[in-house]
Amino acid sequence: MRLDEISVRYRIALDPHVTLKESIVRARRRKFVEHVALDELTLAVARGEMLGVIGRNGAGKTTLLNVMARVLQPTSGRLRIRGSVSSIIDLLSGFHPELSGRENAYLRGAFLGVSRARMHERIDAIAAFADIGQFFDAPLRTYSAGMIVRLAFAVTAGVDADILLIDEALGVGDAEFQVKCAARMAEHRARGVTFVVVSHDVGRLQASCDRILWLDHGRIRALGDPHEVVAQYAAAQHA
Amino acid sequence: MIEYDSAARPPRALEELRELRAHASLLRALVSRNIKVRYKRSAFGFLWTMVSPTLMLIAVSLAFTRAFAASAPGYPAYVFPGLLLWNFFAQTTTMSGEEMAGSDVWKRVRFPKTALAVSTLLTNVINLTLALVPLIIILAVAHRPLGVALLSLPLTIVLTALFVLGASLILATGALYFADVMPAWAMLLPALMFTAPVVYPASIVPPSLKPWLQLNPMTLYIEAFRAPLYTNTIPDARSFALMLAIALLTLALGWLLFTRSADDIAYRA
Repeated sequence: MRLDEISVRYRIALDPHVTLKESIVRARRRKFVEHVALDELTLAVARGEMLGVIGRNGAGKTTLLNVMARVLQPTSGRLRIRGSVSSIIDLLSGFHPELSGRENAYLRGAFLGVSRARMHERIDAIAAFADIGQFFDAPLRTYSAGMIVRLAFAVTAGVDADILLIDEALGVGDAEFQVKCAARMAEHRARGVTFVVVSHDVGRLQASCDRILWLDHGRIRALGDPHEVVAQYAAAQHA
Repeated sequence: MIEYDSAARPPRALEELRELRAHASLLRALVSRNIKVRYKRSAFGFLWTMVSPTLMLIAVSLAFTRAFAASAPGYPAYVFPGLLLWNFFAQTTTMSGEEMAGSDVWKRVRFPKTALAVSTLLTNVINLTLALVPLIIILAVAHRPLGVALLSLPLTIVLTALFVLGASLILATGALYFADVMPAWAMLLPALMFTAPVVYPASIVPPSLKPWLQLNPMTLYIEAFRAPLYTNTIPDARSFALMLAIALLTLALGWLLFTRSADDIAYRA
């Protein structure tokens, strides 16, 4: 995956108006501030690599993942990807409260581009991974928050993608479930899956990633050896 | 191995079409979700599709059966097909617009966004087709003339569906940019119904006003849909050609408008 001078610029209206009448009446008086979320970012991620992304809130980490997932079309720059991309998405997107866990699993699988036949093969493994017992066939509205998390991760973990994007700001279940997720990630890595992981848990990224990218105001502040980048990041935090 | 290069993208309208074709499972899953969610906890199932037009049918029949006795004999049989098709138009455009403007899934996962409109359309086509069964049974029991003309219904439904998809996409594009498009549409729909001969026969409209009825494209589709059910006749070839032309034009316009603005949506959080 290669990003060449990727920029994402938002125009934020100071007086947001979203109705038709307001747009017509005030079209000429509209004021914008431009927010640069990513500033000519150039980056190459190798096949099978695990890249960690760190930075303060608002540094552009999530925007970077959105560009890689092709959810957000960059304002300028060129993006090249070889392989299929899947992302661990936020917990409720694509889930419906009236449907059962099983039905929701099929639905989310479909959103992630998994064929129905493939989901048939996987559904038992997904149920086992989620490990929520009989609730798997109960409507989602009866679930606890933890069970929804388990289901969401079980579906995504069962997807074969060449590149997996993970935004860990989401938080993942209890300790036991985290161990299971880590084991599944290790399996994916062994198969040569590329990972891009955004996290605030700097220590864990340092231990597991090949390289770490430190984003600051949409630019690369540092990129390279996990220990060095994390040391610089920690030094800047305390400065 | 899938390759993607942002510098070598096909035109958006074409790219969307290709992605939609690759996401057949998604369409299927969405249609099955729509149907299940709608009928999950209901004993009546698809019969709910019949409830709103039936209530409307009773109301307008009480009001107009005598008034239109000469121009539309057997008035309930005249009005019901029109109500069904109008409801199909109103519900599909409303549901598509609301779902596409309200959805946040596409800010998280990459998938062809037109899948939401297409799956809503398919769901409502299924509902419409199912609603035809009791309608035809009732018409047969009431000794209405029915025959091979019914075989023209699938073609009429397909042409109507293409037009409705185009209209849905145009509406959804507007709804993405302006929050008041959907409420305005909800207010406009009941009035729009009276610009097509749904509850009144076209023959009572003065000749000087008749061309204006054709300004509502649904007039054409409703008359074609009603002909086999009410008078056991098939619309002429010219009607079908016109329906096809309007459907394709509307669909092309909607598709281009929507796909052109689809990339922009993520920037309008």
